[in-house]
Amino acid sequence: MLKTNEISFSYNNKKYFNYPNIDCKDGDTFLITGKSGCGKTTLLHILAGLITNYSGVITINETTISNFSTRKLDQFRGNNIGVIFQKSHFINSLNIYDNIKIATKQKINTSRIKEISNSLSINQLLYMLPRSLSAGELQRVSIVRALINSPSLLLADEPTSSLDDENTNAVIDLLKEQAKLFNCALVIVTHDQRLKNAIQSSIELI
Amino acid sequence: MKFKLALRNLIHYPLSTILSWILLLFGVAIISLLITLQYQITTKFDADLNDIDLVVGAKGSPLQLVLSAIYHADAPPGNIKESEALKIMNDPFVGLAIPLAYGDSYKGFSIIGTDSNYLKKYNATFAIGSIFNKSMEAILGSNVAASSKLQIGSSFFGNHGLSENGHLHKENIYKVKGILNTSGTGLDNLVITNIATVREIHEHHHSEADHVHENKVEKSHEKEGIEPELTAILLKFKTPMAMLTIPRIVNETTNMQAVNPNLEINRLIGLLGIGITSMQFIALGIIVMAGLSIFIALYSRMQQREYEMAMLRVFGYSRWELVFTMLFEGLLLTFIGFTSGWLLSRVGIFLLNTYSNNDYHLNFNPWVFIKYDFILLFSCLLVGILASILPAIRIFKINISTILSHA
Repeated sequence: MLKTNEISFSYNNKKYFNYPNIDCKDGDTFLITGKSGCGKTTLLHILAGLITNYSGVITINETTISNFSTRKLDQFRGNNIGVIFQKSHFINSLNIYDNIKIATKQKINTSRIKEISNSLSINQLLYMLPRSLSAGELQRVSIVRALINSPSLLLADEPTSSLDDENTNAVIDLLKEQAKLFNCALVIVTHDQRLKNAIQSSIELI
Repeated sequence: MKFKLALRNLIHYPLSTILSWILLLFGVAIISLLITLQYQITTKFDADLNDIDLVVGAKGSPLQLVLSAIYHADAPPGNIKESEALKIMNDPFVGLAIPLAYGDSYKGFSIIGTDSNYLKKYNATFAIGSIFNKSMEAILGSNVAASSKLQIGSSFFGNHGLSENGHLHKENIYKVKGILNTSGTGLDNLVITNIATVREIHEHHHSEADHVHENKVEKSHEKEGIEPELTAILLKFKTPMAMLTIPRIVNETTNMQAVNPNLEINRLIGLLGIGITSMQFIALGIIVMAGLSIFIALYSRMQQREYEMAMLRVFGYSRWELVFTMLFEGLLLTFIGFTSGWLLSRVGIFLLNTYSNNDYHLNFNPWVFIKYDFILLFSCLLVGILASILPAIRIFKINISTILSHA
């Protein structure tokens, strides 16, 4: 569950962003749209605790993270937040399995990684290096990586920007399905207008 | 997982890793080889010296006298008259006096005529048998016994001079009376007999054929008036004061010279040390270059590495954990470099042994880890830390949000 209250942020006191409040329950999907430069990615980073010098209050699962220390925030993020980035980046020297494994600090066994990989049909890619995978495959791997900790908040940054209509629908269905399955709040940040039809609750940043 | 990441990163960029590793390998191998040899040569020199205060022998090069009388590594400069030597040996200041008479050789090992004090000086113990009590009985050092396969009661001939294929003194048969335990000193490579034996052989030989004898102890019955001789004497004083008076008495009133072996050996090792030190500086330079190449390898991958590290922060890793991952990568590489370099230096010592054991009866022990190796290990790890500390600081200060949005 994610709740925000009166979040605002400024880059070096030049650019000001004031964000509307967000309320997203477990299993639900929340869409944030807007043009380039309106602070979408900044909001996502604020929600993920990557930017800390904002004002306002963020509550995830009844825990207010707004005044956490860096160390506590790192820890909380690792246990409770999964992030899917716009461009799927991986550690080049590790294979897919290890890339997924390094994304969790919890003790998880091989069968759990295999299970999630199976459900997103990347199980045959586990022992390959990231550079030998296609963009679509990497996208699915990054979803697995974001879900491996069973987060209570799943953040996705432009997950569909490089996909055609058919694949866009498939990815969004997949994300919604996983959010239901893992019972986590899913927040998608995008400029892709096509997603408005697929997701009910949304805000548009101006 | 973090350690696996460090290892995978090293393997994933083989060229820069191999460059750093090779620099470390050779730097460490050269330094470790040199310090081990220097350390073992110095300890060996000290063990043979074993608190001998003064060496008295024929006039000539002082270093030659010390090398011949204590280390058996050179021919003696000449002989001295026994009567003159006895005067010094009986001086009340002298605590222990060991007479030495150089004789023949057996299979390249020197045969030395002396008395039981010589064995006492080395604290030698018998593996089997006992000390000689009449002429032509001999005691073998452990190396001599091992390479000749002679046993108690076996007999052998000596060769004239030190060369292995010199003239055989077939008339004189030595009999093995005892074999010594390994002492790690020059004693291991000697055949010990009494002084009378050495004299007898050359007296016998002299009367039989006209032979040129160089630096050998002789006593001729035919030429009356020629006194019995010795090659050198080793002295240990009762009081340090004697060190001031006895050398002067020897040098001024006799036809012999007195040499302080400590002084000569320190001078020799000092000269050797200049060469070793300059080699060590070169090797140190190589290790510094290794550090630089590790730094360049880590730093040149920073752009990409920052993104990877920013992602790890998103996954919940703390800043310190990332710093340790970075340091660990540098340390892992230097540790691998040290270990392989150390092993290479041992291979070097092993190869050197096969060569020096034949020519100089010098045997180095490759499987010792002396305190200098620890110092070397810690210096290498320090180089590893220094090389990765700047990249680690950069990782510590990354702004995750900026890096992730600009990737």
